[in-house]
Amino acid sequence: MTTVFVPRDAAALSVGADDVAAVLEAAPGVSVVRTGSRGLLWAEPLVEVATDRGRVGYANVTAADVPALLAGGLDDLPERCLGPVEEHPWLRDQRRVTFARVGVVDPRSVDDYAAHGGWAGLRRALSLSPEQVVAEVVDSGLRGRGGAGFPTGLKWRTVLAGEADQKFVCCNLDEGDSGTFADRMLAEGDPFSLVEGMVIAGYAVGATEGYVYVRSEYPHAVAALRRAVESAYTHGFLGEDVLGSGVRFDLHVRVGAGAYICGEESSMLESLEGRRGEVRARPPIPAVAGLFGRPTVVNNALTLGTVPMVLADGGAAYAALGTGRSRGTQVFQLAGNVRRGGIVELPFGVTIGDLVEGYAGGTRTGRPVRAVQVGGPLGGYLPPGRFDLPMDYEALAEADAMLGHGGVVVWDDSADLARLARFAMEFCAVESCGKCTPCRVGSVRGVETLDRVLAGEDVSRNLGLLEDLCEVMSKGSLCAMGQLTPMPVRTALRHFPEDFDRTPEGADR
Amino acid sequence: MTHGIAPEARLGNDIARQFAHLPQDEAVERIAAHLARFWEPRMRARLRELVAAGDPDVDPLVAAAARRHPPG
Amino acid sequence: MTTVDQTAPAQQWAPEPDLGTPAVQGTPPVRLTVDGRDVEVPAGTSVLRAAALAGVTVPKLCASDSLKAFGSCRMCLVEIEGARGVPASCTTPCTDGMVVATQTDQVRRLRRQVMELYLSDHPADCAGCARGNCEMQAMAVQVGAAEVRFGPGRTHLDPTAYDATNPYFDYDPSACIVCSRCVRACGEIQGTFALTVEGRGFDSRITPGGTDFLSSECVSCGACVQACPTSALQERSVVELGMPTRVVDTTCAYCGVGCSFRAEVQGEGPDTRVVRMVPSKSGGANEGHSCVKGRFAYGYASHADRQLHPMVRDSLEDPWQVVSWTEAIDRVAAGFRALQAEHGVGAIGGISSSRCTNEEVYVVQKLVRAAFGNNNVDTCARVCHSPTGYGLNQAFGTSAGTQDFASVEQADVVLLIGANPTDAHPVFASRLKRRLRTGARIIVADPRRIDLVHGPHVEAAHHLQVRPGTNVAFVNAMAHVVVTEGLADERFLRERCENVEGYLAFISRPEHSPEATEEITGIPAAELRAAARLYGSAGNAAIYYGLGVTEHSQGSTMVMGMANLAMVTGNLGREGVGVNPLRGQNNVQGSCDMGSFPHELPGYRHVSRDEVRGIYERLWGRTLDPRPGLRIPNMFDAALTGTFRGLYVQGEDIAQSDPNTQHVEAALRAMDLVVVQDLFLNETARFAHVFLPGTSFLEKDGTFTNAERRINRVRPVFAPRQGKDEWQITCDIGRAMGYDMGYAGAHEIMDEIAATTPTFAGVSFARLDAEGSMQWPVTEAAPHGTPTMHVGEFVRGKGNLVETVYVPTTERTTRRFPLVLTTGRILTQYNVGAQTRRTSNNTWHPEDVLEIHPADAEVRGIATGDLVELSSRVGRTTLRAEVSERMPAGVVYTTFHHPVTGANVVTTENSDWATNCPEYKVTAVQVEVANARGETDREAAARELAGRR
Repeated sequence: MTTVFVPRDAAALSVGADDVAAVLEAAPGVSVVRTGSRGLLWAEPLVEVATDRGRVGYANVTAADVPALLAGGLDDLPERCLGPVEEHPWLRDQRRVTFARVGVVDPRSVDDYAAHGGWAGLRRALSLSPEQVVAEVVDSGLRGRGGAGFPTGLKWRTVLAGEADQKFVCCNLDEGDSGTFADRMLAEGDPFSLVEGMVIAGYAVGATEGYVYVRSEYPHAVAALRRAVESAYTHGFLGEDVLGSGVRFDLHVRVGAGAYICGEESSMLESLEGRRGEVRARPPIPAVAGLFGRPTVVNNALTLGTVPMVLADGGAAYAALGTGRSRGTQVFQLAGNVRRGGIVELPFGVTIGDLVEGYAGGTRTGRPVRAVQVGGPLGGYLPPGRFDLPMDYEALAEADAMLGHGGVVVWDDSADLARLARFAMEFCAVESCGKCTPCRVGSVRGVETLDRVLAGEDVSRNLGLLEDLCEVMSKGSLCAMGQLTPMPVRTALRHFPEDFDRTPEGADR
Repeated sequence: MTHGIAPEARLGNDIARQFAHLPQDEAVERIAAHLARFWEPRMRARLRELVAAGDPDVDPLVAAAARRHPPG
Repeated sequence: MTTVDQTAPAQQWAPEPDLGTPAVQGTPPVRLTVDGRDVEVPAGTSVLRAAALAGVTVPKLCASDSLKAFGSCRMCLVEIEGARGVPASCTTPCTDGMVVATQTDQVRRLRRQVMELYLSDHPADCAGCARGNCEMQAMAVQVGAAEVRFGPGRTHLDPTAYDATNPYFDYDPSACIVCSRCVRACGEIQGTFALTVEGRGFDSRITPGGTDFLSSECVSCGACVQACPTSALQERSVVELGMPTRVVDTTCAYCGVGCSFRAEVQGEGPDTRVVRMVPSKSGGANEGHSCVKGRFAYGYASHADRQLHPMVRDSLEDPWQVVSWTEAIDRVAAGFRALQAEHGVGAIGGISSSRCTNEEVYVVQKLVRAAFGNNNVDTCARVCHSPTGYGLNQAFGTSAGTQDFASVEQADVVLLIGANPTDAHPVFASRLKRRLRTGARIIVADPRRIDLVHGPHVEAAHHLQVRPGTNVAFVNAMAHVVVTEGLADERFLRERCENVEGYLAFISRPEHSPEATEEITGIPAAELRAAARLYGSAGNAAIYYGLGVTEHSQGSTMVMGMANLAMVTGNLGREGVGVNPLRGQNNVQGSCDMGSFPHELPGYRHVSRDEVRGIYERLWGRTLDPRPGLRIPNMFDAALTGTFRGLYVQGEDIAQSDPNTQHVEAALRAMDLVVVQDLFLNETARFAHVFLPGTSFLEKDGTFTNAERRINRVRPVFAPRQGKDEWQITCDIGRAMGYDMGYAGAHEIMDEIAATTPTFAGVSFARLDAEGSMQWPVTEAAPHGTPTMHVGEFVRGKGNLVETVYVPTTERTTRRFPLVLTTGRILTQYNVGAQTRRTSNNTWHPEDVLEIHPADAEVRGIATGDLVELSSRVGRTTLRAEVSERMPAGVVYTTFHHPVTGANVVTTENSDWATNCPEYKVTAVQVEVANARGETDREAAARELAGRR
């Protein structure tokens, strides 16, 4: 009996993984295990065959390839046979912590999870006091992976200190930034790690109820999480008496309704409460008055998915990785015009150049890279001249960019940065919740003003007006969405001023 | 309009029903006190007339109460 | 006498000051400086409010001190030393030592930029801006945003979106700045949640749920209109008349909540016009909120039906003749004197109105007692809350509710019995709903599924669908569970109550168990037990009740039963608890306080008490009768036997509002002289010989006392339209009968009330003007009034536990009359509708309908909209059916706002055993499909038309 691993990850499914699996399942002597994706999205469907050398990977497998694959017919094609996957340089050189199990285990199997180190963090946490658990997380230096990078342990400490009849833990899985997909892949490929992370968080802060808020565009993640939650209840990892410890934790999966702004934590809480997804003014912060006004831990999925490891191996082990105040690893997502897109998990400190030129292998079009945008659609645009920047919260902030959720989107030299600046304003105009005026009206005026710039109308006056808009949006907006929209606009202007030097249509240059 | 019952009998009987659970003497006392406190003199007089005439509609407790107190 | 000089001093119109965010209470003080000015505020107060208190004006648009801080407009940005960026001052709490700068170059620039964004989507020719009531316009001037530098772009300037469906206010989305103040007001203040923001980003638009205002869930309370900083939501009257020029503070004339209002008016003297009524933020009862009646339905005061001249006629068949005041008054006086001469002193009487002021009511009872020389005075409270007076007096020693309205904010469990506040007491309902949204639980005991059973953010913990007529069995079962399950407050009983042993033995008897009473009340025993446990184990449990308690043959017993329940659980004598009647009419509490009952002098003192009579005899110079007089139903009975011949009716429409219409009409016909004093030729006026035109609340100078015993000032907006104050009319009758009361003004009447009534000892117009309002008792010990009664000790000493035996009503369903009819109210109409029917409130409720359960409807072949005939043992009428599951099977329901309905044609003369309050809530009836309106209806319709002329 040969064991074959076929990803069930949505990215793999989109290129035919189910067809491949169906053929394999029909083949005699083959046992198929469905996994998440290793994150080598350029190789999907990446089929792995268990051998005594380890799991040997085959790239871009189609249903038609299956007979050849089983017959060893792909083994000699270097483009197709990657050899033992974990020895492949793209994966070997990564440091998988958060994604350690993704693509390896069967995400539906609670036993497989346990066999790969699952629940060790929870068991250790339950042997500690809540204060000690919080201290471990503080010591780990783990910061919020949603983008703001707030120290997770400090947030938990605030919630732990809060006095309330009920506290909550909410997992933000409303991953809406263009070019990001790590939350989804974690939820699909290793959902128990989220369950475990949330139970640990609940125990640490005294919360007995948790919610995972998943965007509606992620049906596979929703299904995987629901299945994992159900299984965790069955096996005593959730419910009235977690692992016989007397600790209670209930977990619910909630699906969003298609608003980017619900990835903003206070809008997410509004949405969870059944209201229109609209940003709340702060203070109070959610750690003081969050879901239903109660102290609430709101963490990104990657943050919570990392917590089990922090507890299992200790905060110090995690803190040993990284650079400066950015400790541990970050799950980078390479996308856009790249040759090899996917997940690259590495300690903080890797340079943009390493990711873009190294892992991503430059552009898919083969043309020179002109710009990258790090941290989602509201992140800054950077030219190759800044590729020496280390991936580090503070270093990027200093360069008027941001690490954000770890997305890296690449453009080649055909990119028009004035149009991309316009896109930032347009994105804001489309996705603004509409509550505060600078974002609600300012973004629309921003699009209109940039349209005039693009058309070459009164360019310098309109660029002046644009700067005023950028000022009122960045300083006056209620939440990060409006505050950050000027970042791509301003960095595009700063690093690519030539793109804004428009001449009126029909006029000679 | 009054289903044939004199108003004073009907209203008196309503009061009597509230006190019917008490020992008779106490019930009569309470009914009489209520009549004295809240009934206009001509109503009390009319009730006494009904009682004197042996109106069968008048509850015996009311009748006893009507007899108990002097006109006033 | 004219009253022009009584009109309150002209107060120039200006918007009520707004400090930006609500007050914070109960936190330690912090000190900070704002633009160099020191200010001390409770911790948690917003920087915006602190600035306002320091006298620094920070621009704002989305903020209001009636609403929670929202932080959307970004106009109130400030700089705070040591803080990052430019925080919004509305959402930033003050901390000790904070140094705030509100006028730096940076924030001024940012405000101008924000304002420029607003103006880029605002009509250049905005009507509101032109009218001068646009906060945004004012703010633009304040921040110096002069020009919009953006070129043409997207806007929401769409005149076709104008929504004028609501009769009282318009919605102009072009002027809307999406500040959400309306949405928040609808939710936070009113609790209806009819408004929402649709779309997102620039497409965010305010909408009443995706439809027009009239078709929406909107209850037209007007909170959104009041909250709107532009003219996007604007009173139609302001659109038509323009802005007011001055303000008169006064009190609403509708329900017993007694809301304080700013009457905002234009013009002087006879040209004075009300532009709008705006609830006062300083109003103790309403704190800036109102309902559709109080805010909008004042147009009846100038309706064409309004009678402005005295009229007389010799017989009911004759047409009315307009006469002078003197002639009319002389005719009344001569007529009454003649009747007394021929038929005895007791042959005449008077009825005072709960819609009149304390002063007007006081002089009516004084007229009856001193000039008529008898005690034949009663008031319309007879037919609503007289059992409250009796029951609470028996239990606690005073005939009034125990709390103020604000008390509900401290309640953990509310037991609501036989009341429908969202319709009948909407402003209190909003306060209650606010408390429910913050965690209190509510138990609703009502046969009908009222809105408080299930609604936006409201879900009753228990809905006990008590069968009409079985309240006493229900409340006894509640107390039984409390006592037998160990939930009683032993200490309270021991220290504060009497007849404890006897009552506990009585209530513990198995016949009072929920299991035993289930068959009577129809309430499942387990549900009742759960409700009783919830009430009995709450920290603070409060009872609120309405006419569903009182208007029964055991109404008084039920009031005492509720008092028992509150006493056995110790829920009296502090905030958050109590037994609280929701009074129907604006001054029903006051009219009772003023000695309108035939057995009581002002202050609920029995006429037999020599020392009390002595006070009045000395002051009034007349000997007073120590024996009780006739109650309203007794007057009718006496009229039919010929011993009662003349009646002075102040502002009550007994022919429409009292039960068993045929009986009432026969009695009125039997009288020789019926004098009606009213705004309109009402139903009763059909039987009148003299009509004396009354005044609306907009013309009155005096006081109303609301359901929380709060004495509020009523101030005239203009002089009496018919030329005479109502108290003066009464005094004139007295003088013509040889008894001169000699008041120079309403304030002198209040001075007399205060001098003779201990609970009013500290009340005067001057003190009320200074304090705003006061809750009686106002005494030396409580110079500012008494929000919570019975603290430490009951007024009567010990609380009296009365053994409340359940005696079923004699009104029983039979094969011929198998259904029970019960009656109630609807939001937009008020009582017999004399006022509200003469306003656009008819838009919502043009006729009374009969609610009937689908099962009862189906067997009778009745569908919604069908005309049905409703018949009882005493009469029949016709109205339209509405098949509804709000009623349980076997019970039908209607309102009596329209005379054409004639609901009281079918109600019986059964009444409360102790007070003769009619049993409106239980009538055995049959319902059948009718082909046309019945004869009675046609008659009534003809009458109404004739009355309107």
